[in-house]
Amino acid sequence: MNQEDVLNAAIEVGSRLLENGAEISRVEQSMERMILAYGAPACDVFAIPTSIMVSITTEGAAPQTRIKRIYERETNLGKVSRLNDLSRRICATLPTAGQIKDELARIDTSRDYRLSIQILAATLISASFALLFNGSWIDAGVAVVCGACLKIVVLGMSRLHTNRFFINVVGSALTTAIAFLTARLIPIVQIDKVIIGTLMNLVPGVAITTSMQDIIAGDLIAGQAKLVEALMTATAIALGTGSALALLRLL
Amino acid sequence: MSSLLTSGLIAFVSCLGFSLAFNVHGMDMMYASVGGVIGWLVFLLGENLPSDLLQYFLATIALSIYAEVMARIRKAPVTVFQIIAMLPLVPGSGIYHTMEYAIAGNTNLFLETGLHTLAIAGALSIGIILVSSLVRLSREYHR
Repeated sequence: MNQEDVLNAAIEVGSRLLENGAEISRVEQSMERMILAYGAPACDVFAIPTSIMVSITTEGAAPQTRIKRIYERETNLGKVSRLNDLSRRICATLPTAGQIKDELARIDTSRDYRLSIQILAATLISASFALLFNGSWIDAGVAVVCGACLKIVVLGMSRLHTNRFFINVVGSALTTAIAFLTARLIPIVQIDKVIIGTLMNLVPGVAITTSMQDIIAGDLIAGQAKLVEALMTATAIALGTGSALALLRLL
Repeated sequence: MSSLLTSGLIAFVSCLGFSLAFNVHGMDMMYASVGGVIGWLVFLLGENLPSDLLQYFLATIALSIYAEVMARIRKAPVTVFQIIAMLPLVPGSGIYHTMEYAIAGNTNLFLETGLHTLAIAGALSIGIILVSSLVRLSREYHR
C-alpha cells in the first residue's frame, strides 16, 4: 500500500471508532499504530469528538495530511469492539486497501438490535432505575410504559434526522406528561421517581464521566467538547421536563 | 442482606438494558452486567465511609479491575465492560438536577449540585485511569 492508501485506511477506521463512541485515546492510538505498522517514519494524529486530523511526515517528501469532519456520534460498543479487532489485525497482517474496505463494509452493514429489542432495553432501563432511586414496584410499572413511549418517539424522530436537542426536549416532555397524568389517575405513583428513572435513557451520565477522563488524561479540548455536549443534553432534558410540568400544573 | 441482593439484581437488569441499548452482543452482555453488580455492591457496602466520593472511587476501582480481567479473557476492549458496569454509578441524575436548578434560577443549588456532579465524575475517572495506568505499568515491567 502506498502512503495515501495508508492515510485513507487509517482515517476510515478512526472515524468509525469515533462515531461509535470509542475513547479519544483509543482512536488516536489505533490510527497511529496502523500508520506506523505500514512503515511510515512518523505521524501525528489529533482527534476531538467533531473531527480527526492526521499527518504523515517523511523525510525529503512533502507531508501528507487528511482531515475528516465527524457529524453524528452514538454509543455502539459492539461496533467499537469489532473495529478494535480490525485495527489489531491490520497491524499484525498488513492487508491491502481493498481488503480493509471489504472489512469496513461488513462492519457498516452489520445489524444492530431490532426495534422491539431496543424498546425492551428502554423499558428495562426505566424500570430498574426507578427502583434504584427507591421507587416502588408500581412506579417501575409506570416507568415501563414511559420508557417504551420515550424510545418510540426518540427512534422515530432520529430517523427523520431531527436535531438532537429538540429530540431530548420532546422526549423528556412526553415522559413527564405520561407520568403526571398517571399520577392523577393513580395517586400512589411517585411522579419524580418515574420521571428520573425513565430519563436515565437520555441523561448524559457516561458522557460527563468520559469527558472528565479525557481531561485528566490530557486530551483537554476533546474533554471540554464532551463536557459542553453533556451540559447541552442535560439542559434540553431539564427544559422539556420543566416546561411540561409547568404547563400540566395549569390543568 | 436481602435488600443488598435485590439491589444487586436491579443493578444487573439496568446494565443488561444498557447492554442492549449500546449494542453489546452475546455473553459479553452478561459479563459486563456482572461488573455492574460488583461496582454497585462495593458502592453500597461503603455506606459508612466519610465521603460518598470515596465510595464512588472504590466502586470504580473494583469494577475497573474486573473489566481489565474480562477484557483479557474475552479478547474485547476494556471500554465495553467498563462503560456498562459504570452505568449504575454514573452521575446522570446529578447533571439533570444541575440543569433543572439552573433553569429554575436557583443559583445556589445549581452550583452545589453541579460541583458535586463534576466531583463524582472526577472520582470515577480517577479510579478508571488509576487502574488502567497500573495495568500498563505492570505490562511494561513484565516485558
